[in-house]
Amino acid sequence: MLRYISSRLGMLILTLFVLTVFVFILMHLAPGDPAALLLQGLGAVPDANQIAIMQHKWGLDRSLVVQYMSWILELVQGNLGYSFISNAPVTEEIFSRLGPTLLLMISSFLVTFVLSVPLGVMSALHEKSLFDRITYTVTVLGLSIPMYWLAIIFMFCFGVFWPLFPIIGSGSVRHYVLPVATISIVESMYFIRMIRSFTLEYKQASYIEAATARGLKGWIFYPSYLFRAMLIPVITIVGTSFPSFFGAAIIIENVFSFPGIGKYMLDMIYSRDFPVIQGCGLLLAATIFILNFITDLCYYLADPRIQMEKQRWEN
Amino acid sequence: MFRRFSIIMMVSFCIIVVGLTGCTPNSTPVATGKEEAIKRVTVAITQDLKGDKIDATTYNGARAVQTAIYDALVEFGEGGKIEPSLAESWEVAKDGKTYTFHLRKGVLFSDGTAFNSAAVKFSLERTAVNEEMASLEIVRKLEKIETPDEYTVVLTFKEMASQTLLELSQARPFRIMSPNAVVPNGAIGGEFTEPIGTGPWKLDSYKEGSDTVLVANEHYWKESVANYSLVFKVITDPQARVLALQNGEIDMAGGEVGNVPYENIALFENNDKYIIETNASTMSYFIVINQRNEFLADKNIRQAINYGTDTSKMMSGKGAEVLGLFQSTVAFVTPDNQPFYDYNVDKAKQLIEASGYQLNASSKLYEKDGQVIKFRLVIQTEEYPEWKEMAEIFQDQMKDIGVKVDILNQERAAYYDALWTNKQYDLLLYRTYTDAQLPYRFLSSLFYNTVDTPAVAYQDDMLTAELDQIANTISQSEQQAIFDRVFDRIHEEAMTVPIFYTKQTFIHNSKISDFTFGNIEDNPVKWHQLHIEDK
Repeated sequence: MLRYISSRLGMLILTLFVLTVFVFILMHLAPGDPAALLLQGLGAVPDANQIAIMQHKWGLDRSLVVQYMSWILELVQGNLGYSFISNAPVTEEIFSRLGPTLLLMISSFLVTFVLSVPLGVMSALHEKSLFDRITYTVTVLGLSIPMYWLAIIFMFCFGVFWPLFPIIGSGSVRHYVLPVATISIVESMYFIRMIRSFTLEYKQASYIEAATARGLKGWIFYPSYLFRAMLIPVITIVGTSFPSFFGAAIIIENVFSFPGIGKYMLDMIYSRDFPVIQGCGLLLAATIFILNFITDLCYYLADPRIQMEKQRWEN
Repeated sequence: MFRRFSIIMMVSFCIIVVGLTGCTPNSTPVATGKEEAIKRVTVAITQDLKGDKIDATTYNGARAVQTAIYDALVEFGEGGKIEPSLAESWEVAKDGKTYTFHLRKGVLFSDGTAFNSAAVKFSLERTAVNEEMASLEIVRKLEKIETPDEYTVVLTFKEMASQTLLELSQARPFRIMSPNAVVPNGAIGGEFTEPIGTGPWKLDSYKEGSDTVLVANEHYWKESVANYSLVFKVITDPQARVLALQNGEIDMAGGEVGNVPYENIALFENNDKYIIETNASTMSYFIVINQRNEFLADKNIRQAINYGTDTSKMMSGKGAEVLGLFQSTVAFVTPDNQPFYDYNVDKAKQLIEASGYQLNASSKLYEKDGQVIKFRLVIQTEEYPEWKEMAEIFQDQMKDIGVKVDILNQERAAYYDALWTNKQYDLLLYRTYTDAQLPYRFLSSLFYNTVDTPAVAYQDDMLTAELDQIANTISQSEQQAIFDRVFDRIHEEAMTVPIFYTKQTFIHNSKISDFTFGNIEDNPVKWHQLHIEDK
C-alpha cells in the first residue's frame, strides 16, 4: 500500500511538472499584455513607457526561460508568487475565495446525486415504461440546454416574475437555491443517463437472474446484489465529476455574481494575471489528481476482487 | 464492507459540508457607522471595487467611488472649463512652470482632521513616487512642491506643464487624501490603511467581490449630506444587472459604472416604476485605421469608407448625430471645427474608382489587378456589447460601396494586443477617452509619432508637430487655434471613421428622485443629492 501511494505521489509530481511547463507556455503564447491590460482596466492611458515600467516591475522583460526558472524556484519553496493586480500572495487570493465555491459545488453535487440515483435506477428497473420514456426524453433535451441560458431563465422566473429567491451574490442559504438548482439540473441529466445505463447492464447479469430464479424479492436482492455491484461505476462517475462541477461553478458564479474562485479565475484570465492563472491551474490539476487517487482507493475498498488481485500480485 | 464504506462516505460529506459553512467570507467593517442607516440606495457596479485599497494616489478601486470619497483641487466643468474645488483660486506663471494654489479654509477630512497644504503636499508627493504614474505630465515634469503657509501650495515644474489643471481635475491619481490614511502617519511611502477624504462619502464596510457600503461624511464642506447609505453591488453579467433592477435587488444601474445593454433599455421605457436618465457624454466610438494596409494607405479609400458610412443607422438612432471625431461636449470643440463626411455612396464609389479600382460585376466588389478591397474589422464585445451590431451595420454599408469587411470579434486581451502591440487589424472599432483626457491626452496616446515609438493609430508627422506645440503653450486661445488645425487635419486625411456619439444612461426605480448627473463621467452621479421615498 505504501509503495503504491509513493509511486502515485511520484506520478503527481511528474504530472504537475509537465503541467507547469504547459500552463506557462500556453499563458505566454496567448495574446495580451498584462501591463497594458491592467493600465487599460484601471482607466489609465497606457503608453509604451508606462507599460515598460510595469513589465520590469513584474519581471516580464526577462527571457521566458528565466521567468519560468524563477517561478519554479519559488514553487519548490511552496510559494505560488504574487498577483500582478493585487500584489497579494496567490495562495492567499485563492484560498480566501475557495469557501463559497466549494460550498456551491458540494451542495450541487449532493442535490445532483440525490436527484439522479433514484431517477436513473427507477427508469432502468421499469425499462420502456412511460416513466422511463419521459425521463429519457427529458434528459436528452436537458443535455442540450446551455447552463447560462437556464440560469437566466431561472433568474427571471424565480427572481423577477415570482420573486422567491435573490439572484445576486451570496450570503444566505436562499442565495444558493437558484445557482445550485441550475447546476444540479444540468449535471443530473448526464448522471441519470449514466446510472440508467449501468443499472440496465448489471440488471442483466447472471447472478441477478439466479437470484430471481431462486425467488428472491426485489427489496432483498437489489441492495445487496445490484446496487453493490453498481458501486464501482458510481464511484467512477462521482470521482471524475469534479472538473465538470468546477466548470459549471465558473459559469454560474459569473451569472449570479457569486464571489468565488471560479469568477475570480475567469477575471484573472481576462486580465492575464499570469501568477494567479498558473497557481489556479496547478491547484486544479493537483485536486483532480488527488481525487482520482481517492477514487482508486474507493475501488479497492468497494470491490473485494481488486483486493484479492492485489494480494495475489503481492504474493 | 459496503455498509462501512457508505458510513465513511456519509460522515466525510457531513464533516466537509459543516466545515465549509464557516468558509464564507465575512464583511470587513472599515469604519463603524454610528447606527444602521434606515435607507439605502443600491447601485450596480461591474467589477469588484477593491474597497480596502481605495487609495486616492493610486489606480486602485473604482473611479466612481474614488470621486465619491475624495475631492480634487480643481473640478472639470462644462466644456472643459476648470472650476474651483478644494483650491479656491490659483495663479499660473507666464512660463507655465509655476502653479500657485490658494486652498479653501475650514474644510475637514472625514476623520475630522483639518484639510491644509500639508495634506495636498502629501497626496501629490505620494502620487509622484508611484512608478505607475511615470507618464503623467505632473509627475514627469515636477521639480518641487512648496507650502509657504497652511493654505498655499506652490508647484514648480522643470519645464512648461500645460496639462497640470486637467490632470488635477481627473478622478485619479491627484485627488487629496488625508495623511492619516497611511501608516506611519503622513509617510509618503506609508502603507495605506483606510480611505479618508473630504468628499461627500466615507467607507463603511466592504465585502470582497460583493458589496461596498458608503455612508455620508458628516464633515462634507460643499453641500448637505445624504440621509441614506450608498451600496455598490458587484454584478458582472449585464443581463443579471437588468434582472436585478427588475426584481428590486438594486435601485439603479447605468453609465460606465454598471451599464445596461442598449437593447434592454426598451424594457424600462413607458414603465412608471422606472425612470430613465440620459445625459450627453464626451465619448465617441470610432474606427481606427491601420495605414500599414496597402488599401488604407490610399487617402481616397479612407475617405470613401467615411462617405460610405451612414452613422444615423447605428444602434437604431440611439446616439446623437455624428459629425467629426469629437462630440460638442469636448473641450476645444466648436460648431465650426468638426468637419465631417456626409453619407454619400456615389461619392464613395467615385473616390475608389479614382484610385484605379474597378467593380467586379459578379462579386459586386471593387478590385485592382485581381485584388479585392477587403478589410478585417477587429472588435470586442466584453466591454462594449453594442459593437457587434454596429460592426454588422458597418459591414453591410461597406458592401454597398463594393468593399468587403470581415468582422473579427476578439477576446478583450487579444483585442488590446492588436491595437497596442501586434497591429493585427486593418480597421478596429475603438472609443475616445472622456472629459479631461480629451482631446489632448487622447490624441497624444494614439497619434503621437516618433522614430522610436511609432503612433499607435494613424502616423502623421504634421499632427505630431501640432501636439508638441500644444504641450508648449498655456494660452487657451493659442491652444484653440492649434486644435482647430488638428481637427481639420484628422478630417482631411480621413485618419478615423467616426461612428457613434455615446450618451450616459442611468435607469433607477421611481422611489428615487432628484437625480443629478455628476460633472465628469468618472463621477457620474451626485450620489449624495438623491431623494429616497420612505417605504
